[in-house]
Amino acid sequence: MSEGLLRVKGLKTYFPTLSGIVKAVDGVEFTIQKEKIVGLVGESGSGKSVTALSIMRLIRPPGKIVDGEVLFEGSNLLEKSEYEMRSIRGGKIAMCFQDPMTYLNPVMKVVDQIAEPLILHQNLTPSEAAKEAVEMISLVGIPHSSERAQDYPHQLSGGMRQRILLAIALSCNPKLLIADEPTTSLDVIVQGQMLKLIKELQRRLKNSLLFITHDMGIIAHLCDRVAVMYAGKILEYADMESIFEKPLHPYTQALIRSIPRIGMKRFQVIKGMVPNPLDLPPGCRFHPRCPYAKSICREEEPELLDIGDNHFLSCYLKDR
Amino acid sequence: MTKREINKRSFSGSKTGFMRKITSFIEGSKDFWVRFRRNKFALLAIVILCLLSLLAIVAPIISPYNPEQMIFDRFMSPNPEHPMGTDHMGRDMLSRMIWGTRISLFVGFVSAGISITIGVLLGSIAGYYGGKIDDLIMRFVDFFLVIPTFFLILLIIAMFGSSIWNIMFVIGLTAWPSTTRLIRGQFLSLKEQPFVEAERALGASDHRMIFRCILPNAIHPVLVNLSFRVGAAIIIEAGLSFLGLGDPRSISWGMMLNTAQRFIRTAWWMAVFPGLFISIAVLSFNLVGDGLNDALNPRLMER
Repeated sequence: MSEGLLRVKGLKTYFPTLSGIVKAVDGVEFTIQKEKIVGLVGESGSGKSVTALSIMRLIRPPGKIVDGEVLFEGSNLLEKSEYEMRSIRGGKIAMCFQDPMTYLNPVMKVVDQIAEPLILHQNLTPSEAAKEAVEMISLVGIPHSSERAQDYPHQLSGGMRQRILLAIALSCNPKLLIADEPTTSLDVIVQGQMLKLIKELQRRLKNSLLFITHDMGIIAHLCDRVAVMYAGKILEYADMESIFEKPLHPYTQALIRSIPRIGMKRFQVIKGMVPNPLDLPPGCRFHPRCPYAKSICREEEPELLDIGDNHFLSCYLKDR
Repeated sequence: MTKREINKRSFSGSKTGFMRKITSFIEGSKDFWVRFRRNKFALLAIVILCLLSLLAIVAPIISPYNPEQMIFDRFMSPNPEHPMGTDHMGRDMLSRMIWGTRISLFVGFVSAGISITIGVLLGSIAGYYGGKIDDLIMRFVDFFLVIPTFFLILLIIAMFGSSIWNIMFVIGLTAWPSTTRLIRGQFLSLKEQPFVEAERALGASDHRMIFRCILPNAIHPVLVNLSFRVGAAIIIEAGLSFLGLGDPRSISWGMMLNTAQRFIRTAWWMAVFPGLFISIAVLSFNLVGDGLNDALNPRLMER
């Protein structure tokens, strides 16, 4: 992998619980190039959000990043002090969360919430930051921005709140925006508008984007590259076209088959369940659900290897 | 509802920042007032408190006589000249009541302010950081809670003298533990809220997280608590004075009750008026506290 803006190497984040250690993220690797949109897709509980929080170093105890490197512009974020991290969070790497109601502070006007990172990272005075914040509100496509700016979150609609979250994340023009399912709680129409807006702003502001979702349809719309995550590991990481046109991992193939299409008689589902994170199967994590599993899949864990064309795959079946 | 919308429209015509700030404040507090007005007792109480505060502020102007001047006959019962009579030294009781309002309310607010400040600071630190810091602060709180506060106050006043400032500080310094608990509880639940995580993701410092992000969300119980605390402080000051540990040089309702003890059989007005004022003031603070509690209840805030 060439050095990109962000490079995650062997990242492991574990959560000790009473019944054992939950390996939420267990050796994740990927690279995000400048000005690219990377989609991180996977089922619920596959470790997507934990990966995002680990990059931001926002894992709450008792959870812990036990191993790995997160290289951002060449320096390892995991070795930085809490104080240094503070200037990176919200400034160079920003995060846009999924639930627009609960992730906004209910007692702060939206203008103050957008101004917050500007005051923290760009040393603007509160009045300059407020002016900038109003501009951000119109940038994310909310009309009458100077009036909406004085509203509290509960006075806005879900779509507007999500736009405000995006405005907060983008206010300092971060080099990397991590968007954790930013459209999940919206209806399809607003979702479509949001995706269009995100893509448009990414092009205009020229930042990189790590987009976390469980929706393959969104991935197809938005992303340059796609990482497929399963039970704490990346199974396949490739350009969007090759993921959709010639998916190599049985899990990716199953995911793509499960996208509902017009004219489809019945849903194609992936048989079986996501493994219990306390009791992961030996060998390849997907083998109990994999229709092509061989004996080696049950015994040894495949590595994520470059199979050419910037296509990474973690499967023994690539010669199949 | 329609009237409100019309109001909103005509307001939004003004474009200057200052005007908008005022209109948005009015808009924001409108709901609060609608709910607060439903509680008639609380409304009455707040009117009473406003009158008492006004009385305290303009005491030098409206007081008919100098409260310290001993120029009248002693033990005059209430009459047109002296509506509340005169005391054992020939001082006008009405003037003394008016000046006493000043001292008593002052004592109430200052000591409540002290205890709320300490309580909020320690409570937010304990709740936000948790772990060992929390343990340390909460054991300290437990220690204070098991000591009978009133006797601790008596002891300190007896040791350090009974100036009105000592009294205020001592009341303030002994009343904070329950506020600390309240605020800690608020922080424990609020710090798990997603918006707190979002704030951390913006790179905010702990200081900013506590005071700008979380504390404004916990301000309602603080306001309610403040109201109750003022009432409690007035009662404690009156109690101390009644027991003879008040500041003999200051005119407070409690001090007046204290002197009235000796003459209760002959001069009822010397005891009744201070007692009445104490009861009304404390009752009002408690009623306002209740009203605030109802009006600020976040479960009723949802729209």
